[in-house]
Amino acid sequence: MELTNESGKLFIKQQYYRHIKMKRRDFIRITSLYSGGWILSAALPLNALAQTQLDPICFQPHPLIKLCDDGSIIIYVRKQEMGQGVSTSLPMIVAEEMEADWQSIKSEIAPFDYEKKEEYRTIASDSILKNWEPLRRAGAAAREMLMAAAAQRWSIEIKDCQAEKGKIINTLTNESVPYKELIAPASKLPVPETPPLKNYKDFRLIGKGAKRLNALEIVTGKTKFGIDVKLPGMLYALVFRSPVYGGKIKSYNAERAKKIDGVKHIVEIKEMDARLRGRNGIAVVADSFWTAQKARNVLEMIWEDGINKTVTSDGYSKKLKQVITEPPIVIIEEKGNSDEVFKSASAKLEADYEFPFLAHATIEPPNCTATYKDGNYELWGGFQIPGNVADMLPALFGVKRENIKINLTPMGGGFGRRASIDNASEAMQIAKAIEQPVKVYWTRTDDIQNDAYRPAMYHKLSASLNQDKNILSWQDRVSGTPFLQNIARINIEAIGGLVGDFYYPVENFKSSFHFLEPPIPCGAWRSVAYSHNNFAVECFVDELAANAGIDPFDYRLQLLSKANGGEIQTKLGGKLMYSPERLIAVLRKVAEEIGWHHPHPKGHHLGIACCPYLTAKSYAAHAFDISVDSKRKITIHKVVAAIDCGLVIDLDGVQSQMQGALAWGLSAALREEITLQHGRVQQSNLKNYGVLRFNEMPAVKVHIIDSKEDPGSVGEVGVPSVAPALCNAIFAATKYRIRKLPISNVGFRI
Amino acid sequence: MSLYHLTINGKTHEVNVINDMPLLWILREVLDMTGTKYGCGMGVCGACTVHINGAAVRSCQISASQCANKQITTIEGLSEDGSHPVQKAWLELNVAQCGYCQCGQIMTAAALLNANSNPTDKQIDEAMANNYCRCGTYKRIREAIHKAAVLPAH
Repeated sequence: MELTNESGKLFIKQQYYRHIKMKRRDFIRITSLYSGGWILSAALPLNALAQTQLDPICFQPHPLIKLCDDGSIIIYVRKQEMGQGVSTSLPMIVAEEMEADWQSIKSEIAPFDYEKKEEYRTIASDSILKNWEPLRRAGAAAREMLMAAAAQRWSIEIKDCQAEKGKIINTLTNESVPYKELIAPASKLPVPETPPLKNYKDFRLIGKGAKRLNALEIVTGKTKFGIDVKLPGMLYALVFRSPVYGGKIKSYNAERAKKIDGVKHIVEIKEMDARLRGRNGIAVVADSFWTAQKARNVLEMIWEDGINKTVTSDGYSKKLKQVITEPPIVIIEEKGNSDEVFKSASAKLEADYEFPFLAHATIEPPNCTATYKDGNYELWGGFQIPGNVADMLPALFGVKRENIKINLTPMGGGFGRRASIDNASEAMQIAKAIEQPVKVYWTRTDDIQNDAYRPAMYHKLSASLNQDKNILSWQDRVSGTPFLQNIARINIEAIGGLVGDFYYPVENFKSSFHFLEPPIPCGAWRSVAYSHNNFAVECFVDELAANAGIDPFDYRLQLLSKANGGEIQTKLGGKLMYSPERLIAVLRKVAEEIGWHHPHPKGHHLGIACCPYLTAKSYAAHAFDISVDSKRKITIHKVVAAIDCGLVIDLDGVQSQMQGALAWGLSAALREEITLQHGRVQQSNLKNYGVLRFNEMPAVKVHIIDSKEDPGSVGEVGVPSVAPALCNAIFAATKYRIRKLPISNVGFRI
Repeated sequence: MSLYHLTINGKTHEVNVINDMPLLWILREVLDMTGTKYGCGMGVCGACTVHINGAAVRSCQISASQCANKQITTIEGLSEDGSHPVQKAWLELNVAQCGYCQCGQIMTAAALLNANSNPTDKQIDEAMANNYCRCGTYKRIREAIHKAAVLPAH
């Protein structure tokens, strides 16, 4: 049962049913290799595994659900796990409708299927959004088949059967039968096309905290991340990449490197295509990481650095400020006549905000393992968009799509980094050259200096005001690069929070984008453009409140009380739903919990910010309680967060994501910054890049709004409002406005 | 290349490796014990933490010769089934997100509890300050260490 089409509308593919009905005649016998051997499960066809009598007998009422007569239920997950919890939350949806016992559920990565490539795309916080309906129906269909099988067994009507915690109960006799005993008869029944879905009030799992699946493997060190893949005869590679983006090799000397014991090959790496975010370089292939690293250290490289060789952060910052005065490449939104109103107004307020390039610094550095034989490639690694590997690389390597097999692994953090496929391109180039299995590693320095960065951005906000200090016009000019790094693809996702009508309603409004080519590759970074858009808006509205002499929380509420909710048609295409009430609710919650309207201890100051993350259908807000001493040292006394993500699936998972979002947002606000000198990234490790440390993490109380709205997603939603809430608190404490991130640039620290 | 005898998780392994190869790579690439993670290779991130004679050590910063006649414990040897109190507390509190740094976090935490059976928040923060987590699980880790401190030893 496959339930989505490109427009997102649900329909049922009859063809699929025919396929399933054919398959259903036979039970599928599965060896332990299939459930336990993650590489083999992806590599071997199912029928090759039918071997012994001891193996459990299983059936698949849906491609993503497998019930076995040993009592286990495997739920395959097409979205990629990188810490955001999809390997738990998506199975919860299926298990809820199936009335399965959570203890019997196992979660596995679904082998990559090109035909379903969109479902594997794990970006933009859409896993819950896109899977909620289809997975409910899948689970419900399985439950209905099990109930029908039980009804047959007892010769009673289905209405006299009840599914509960992995068994069907005969409500006439109170007899019960576990699912595992119904596998054979259920597999002979038709798959219902429109199974009834449960009422929300009957949910047993959804909305509650579940034990994370796969946690035992993690704490015992058994989880195999991409970097842990090992193939027979595998070699290890490190690449000396152009230190300047777009640089080419002028000449190189690998003689010393080749003389080191254990060095096997030297391979030239090509950038191939700008969309890969890769760089030219030389790969050293050896019998260990350690030898490869030693050999790379003695490579003599002479580079033609190219057009970015003189770039500095200061120079790029000046350019950002220059292009913002020039005509934009696109007007994002416009209403009324903000230019005229601004010109003729007597009172005006302007502020600019600057944002640095940011790295991801996933603790598992990028890596990829590849083999090449007889024109066929096979890859192992974490890919947030495996479809891009399948769509982009065949043409570049002169093969057909079916000549590249992709094996997906869990990721040691993603945050957008693993949406880039520079790792696959490099591993394939090396594998082709040496015709031997190879794993290409990034060292930590390679990672920090060869990322696809959150673009450096610049915002210029301006407002005109009437005598009563009410806002007459508002403009938000943005310069930089959309994270997709392609001016032809400026769309809602690329522009982020500046969509539809401005979320604080203003009669005359305009936002515009002023493009500047980036000197280093850019890509998606947890919360993408919301990360800077929301900061600019939430800090500027705080400035307007201060200017009007109104409490910043009251000021926001006054504005939002005049906002119209409903569907927004964006100028760049696409529709979004906006509910000012839901935004108000999260703001109210954090204000209440931080004690906004109550007296607070001497020296304590509060800051607040909110974020309608409309593309994920979720809303978040943060409030900080801080003190700042005369040397700009900040003490964070308390942080509260609130989120309305609609109906909650995994309660503890939402808590985790909001806690993690605080760490992510705070880390960036405090110290994170990629700077350039002679076109080269200056940072090289977690410490000098400034990643938040254990002892710096403040406690946070997360409040989840009880909601029956359709479930939204959570992964990125809690990030944007962290930094503006902190900076607004810094203003409350010091009257100093942060206009440039990170705050360490002007001496603030925790 | 030299021959070394390493005692890891109670078993002696004979490895023939280049002299200065860090223990991290011996574990991962030679012995296929991949629970010990590479995160930086500079002794900064803590992902590669193991125990040597019960104390937390960055395995990327120590070579085979420095491990002679010492007891090395990796995450695979802390317990096979997750029954060590620290692992149990991690499971109980759903600490892990992506999980990549967690083996190092667990090893550092277990060494802390070996030395101090009931650490304060401040002592935990000090002991864990050089273990990075990019998913932001720090506060759950602290809570889990307190929990592990009151769980019975396995």
